[in-house]
Amino acid sequence: MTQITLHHITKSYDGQNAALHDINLTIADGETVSVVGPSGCGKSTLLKIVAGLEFPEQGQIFYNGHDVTEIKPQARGVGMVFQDYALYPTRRGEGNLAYFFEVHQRSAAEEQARIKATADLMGVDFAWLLGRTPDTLSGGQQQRVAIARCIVRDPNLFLMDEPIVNLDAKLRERTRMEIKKLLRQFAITTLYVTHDQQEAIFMGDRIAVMRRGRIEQIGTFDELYYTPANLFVATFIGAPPISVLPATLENGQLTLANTTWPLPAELGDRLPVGAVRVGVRPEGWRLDAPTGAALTVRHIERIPTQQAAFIHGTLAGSAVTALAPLDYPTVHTLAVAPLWENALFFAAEGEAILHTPGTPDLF
Amino acid sequence: MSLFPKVGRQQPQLRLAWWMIVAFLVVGVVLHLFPFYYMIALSLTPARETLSATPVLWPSEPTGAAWRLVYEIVTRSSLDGRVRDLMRVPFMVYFGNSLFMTLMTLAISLPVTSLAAYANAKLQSGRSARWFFLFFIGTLMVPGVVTLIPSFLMTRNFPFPLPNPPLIPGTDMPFPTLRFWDTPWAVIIPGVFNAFNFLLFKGFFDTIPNSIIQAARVDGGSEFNIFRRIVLPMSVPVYAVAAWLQFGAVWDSYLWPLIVLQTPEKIPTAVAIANLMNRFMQAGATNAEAAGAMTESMREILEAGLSWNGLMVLGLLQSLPIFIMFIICREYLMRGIRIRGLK
Amino acid sequence: MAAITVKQLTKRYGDKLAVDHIDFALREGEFLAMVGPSGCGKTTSLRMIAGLEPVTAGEIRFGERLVNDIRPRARNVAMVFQDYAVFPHLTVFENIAYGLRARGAPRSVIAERVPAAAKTFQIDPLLGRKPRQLSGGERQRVALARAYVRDAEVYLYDEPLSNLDAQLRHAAREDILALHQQKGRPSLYVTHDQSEAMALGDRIAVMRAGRIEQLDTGSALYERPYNLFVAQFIGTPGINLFDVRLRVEGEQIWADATVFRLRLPDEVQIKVRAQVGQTVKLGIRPEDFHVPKRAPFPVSDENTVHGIVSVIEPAATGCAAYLSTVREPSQDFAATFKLRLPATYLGKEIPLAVDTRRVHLFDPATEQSLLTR
Repeated sequence: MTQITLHHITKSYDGQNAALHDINLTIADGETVSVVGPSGCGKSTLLKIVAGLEFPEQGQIFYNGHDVTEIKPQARGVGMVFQDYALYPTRRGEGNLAYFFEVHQRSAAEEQARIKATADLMGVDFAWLLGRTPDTLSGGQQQRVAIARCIVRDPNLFLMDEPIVNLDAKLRERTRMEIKKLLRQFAITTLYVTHDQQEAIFMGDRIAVMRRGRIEQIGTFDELYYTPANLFVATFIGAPPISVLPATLENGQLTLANTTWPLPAELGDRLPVGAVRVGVRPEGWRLDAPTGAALTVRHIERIPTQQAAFIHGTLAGSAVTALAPLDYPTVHTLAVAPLWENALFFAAEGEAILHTPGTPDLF
Repeated sequence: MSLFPKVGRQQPQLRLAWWMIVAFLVVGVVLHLFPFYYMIALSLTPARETLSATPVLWPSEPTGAAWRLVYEIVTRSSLDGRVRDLMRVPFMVYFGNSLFMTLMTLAISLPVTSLAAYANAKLQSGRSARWFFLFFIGTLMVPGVVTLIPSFLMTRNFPFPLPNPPLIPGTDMPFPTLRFWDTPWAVIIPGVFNAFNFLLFKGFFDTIPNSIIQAARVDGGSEFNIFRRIVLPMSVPVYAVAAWLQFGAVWDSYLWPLIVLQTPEKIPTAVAIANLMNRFMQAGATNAEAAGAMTESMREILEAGLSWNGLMVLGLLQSLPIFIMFIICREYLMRGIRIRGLK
Repeated sequence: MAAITVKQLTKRYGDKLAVDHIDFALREGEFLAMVGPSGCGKTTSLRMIAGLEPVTAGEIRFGERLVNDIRPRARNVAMVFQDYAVFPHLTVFENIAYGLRARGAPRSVIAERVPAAAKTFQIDPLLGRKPRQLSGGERQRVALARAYVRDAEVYLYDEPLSNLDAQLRHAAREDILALHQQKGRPSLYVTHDQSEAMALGDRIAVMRAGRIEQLDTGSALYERPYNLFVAQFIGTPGINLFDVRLRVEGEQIWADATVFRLRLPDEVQIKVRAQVGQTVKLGIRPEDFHVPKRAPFPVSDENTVHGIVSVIEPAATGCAAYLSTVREPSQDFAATFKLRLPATYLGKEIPLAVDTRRVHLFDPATEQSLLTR
């Protein structure tokens, strides 16, 4: 089993934006870390460096304390799943799985045993896929073969580069669950890259949020959601996203969207006087508040499967989304007030966080 | 035909345009195929008719006389001494030379060129890849005639393109040089790196997704193993095309073998047939006046085929191996295209 | 007169029937979402309505006008494509203006409408740029502005959001809704993502293998699916399905999966009396599982299921728990809650109350719902 450490990794491409700036990351043995971020943030590059397909300009990578920075991917013993599956087109499923054993000169007996074990693991209908060439398979089927290829060699490390992004929404759900079960079963250290935060939250024990080559924050979902490190993480995690509104704080009173509310004392003491920005998540709005600000409703999105509705509207020029019960009546305007125990506070300019509410106490 | 919108084709405007394009394309095809047809037709025409002023679209009495004459010449089985004189060395020798030169060039050139292209496409990256690519492609921009004389001299004093090798500084001895002038290697070695095929291979290897190569690396394959086991099976169509093109180029090359091969027994069929054509033209008749001035006995041979019809037969013979090669390569091309499962 | 009427629309490729005699009608100003898995024929249908594919059989009418053989240019439709189809060699301004120029609109009209359209989608600072300098989301908005600036009769969308990051998709949905509300024209929207269809569509057509399985409003599809496919397709996480045998015990009908038993509510019992003794498929939606202490209905052995928690997926509105049944044969199922289940419950067995009033039952052979239709 493998513990991975990245130490001051820096990488740049000539002429391209994708770069990594001083990345430090430790993945515990058996842990799954999801790396999530917008396109071009460097998450795939990070994965390739861990695999050995790219070499960093500066920094080192350690597998269990051994410096593998200079070691080629052939010798690192990792298993990797690619976004476009990357199956060998001229070989059938079985040939794809067997390639590893061929190049490492393992016995045919071992190869057959491992392929059989993997096929059993992947489910009843997998054997059929072994006899087909990739061009006869659908996307989902190709992905299963790719995953099997990753597992068959019993690697130290799983690296997954947006493996399900090209699948249909429904198929994605199912495959997601299958991958998660496999990861559970094997308890192998995994690095999972995606741009979809739902997926990242589902797959990862911890989630690393990246932007433009830096890890902005790494932690569990609760840590990222309730105590984000900066404005970017706060707006990135959470769908629908947090609404950030300018406000002014004076004499323990907060003025937001032309409405003033008194702040609870502990908050007022902690925050600086003057201009601030308030971050309110959809569930952080009190609806029909007696002293609320007027929200102009643009559209109510009802989601029966979540038993909730989202009220999309504008509050003094800023776009705001508020969470409401599914059967909330359709209105054109609504009085809302922030729930202070859920609100985040940011500096008026820049990305700094002034105050986070912390993980709520639910029980 | 996706040039046309699929919906609303019935409208007269579009139908007219459609038929005009069809007509245009038919004209193109006919123009393209006509010369071959003409060669075949002419080879079956009696010599007298070939000399007539009116063009012959199909002989009035098709005859295999020209074919027979050429057969007798190449097998040297004619009883007529003059016919035997036309070709002094058995044709098989020439054929063997050509075959050796062509196949040997293919055997060396395809691996060298394709490996260079693969390295440039997949193993190099960034600026160095671009510069190497430009360097190799740049050689295509130099016209062949410019390098003709230096190349010739190099076959005599490899690696110096000079008439005499220079002296080793400080001594009286000339540098040791390799001379492969007047050997088949003089034709083979310059053809080893084919810039055009390099372009072809590189274009294809560029379309192979990097992720497949990366997956193979993660699986543990060495670079050469990846090339041999993964990339090569995918590349069968490109190899088929490159092989066919190069086969045609080497088989048909005339000027270079003419320059570097002196001994008559070493020349390829392209040169041999050209020589034969010259002799035909001297001995035979290619226009009506000369035909009239011939002696009676020569007239017989003329009847037989010592004219345009014979020349057409020789031309067809020279083209035949290339055609066969095309049929072979097409099979691999078709098979390879079906295997390519790249999305 | 409906704005768009489609009658027995069929598309055949060789032997394969891509679109199998579908019928539907779109009202004025309606936003219809067509949703289904890959290969179900939704994109082909859209392309036939756009005029990009010839029709094998059937009719397409815009109002009264039969448009089967009319070229796209003459149909006056605006289309937004999956890969945006922005012209790379033209500036953003020229891209948006293309349709107007091609139809010979006067320069004054172009100069007025293009900046207005750009402003609607907040891309007016980008008017002078070329597409390669824009991000995916910005290109998407150029495609939308291009559709907006024309006065088309019909608006068609071919999976316009699938190439966007999950993050950008929510914002882009708002843009599309804004476009629809402003124009008020009938719109047809194709997607494979059912949550997108549910969020955007006035009505939704669920398609499979070239046929429309059900055409209804989102809530009707959710509450009264006609068959197994629709029930499974709508909703994330998907509906949980169990094979159950219907037994009578003391005049009550019970659904008996070997791993649990549930007493069916009276209104359901009436409908399935004919199936007593048979095996049917029972569907329970993840949101119909409740923590027994917080269930809004009385909880007893009659409506309790036990499961071992394997994954807890946190979300803002609560969490989704993935469990497996306690007894063999173990089966996976999902439950969503409005509260956050602490991680300490992983691997533990918990009881769950089932809202049996909301269960679905399906015939295992025909896959039709036993409760609707």
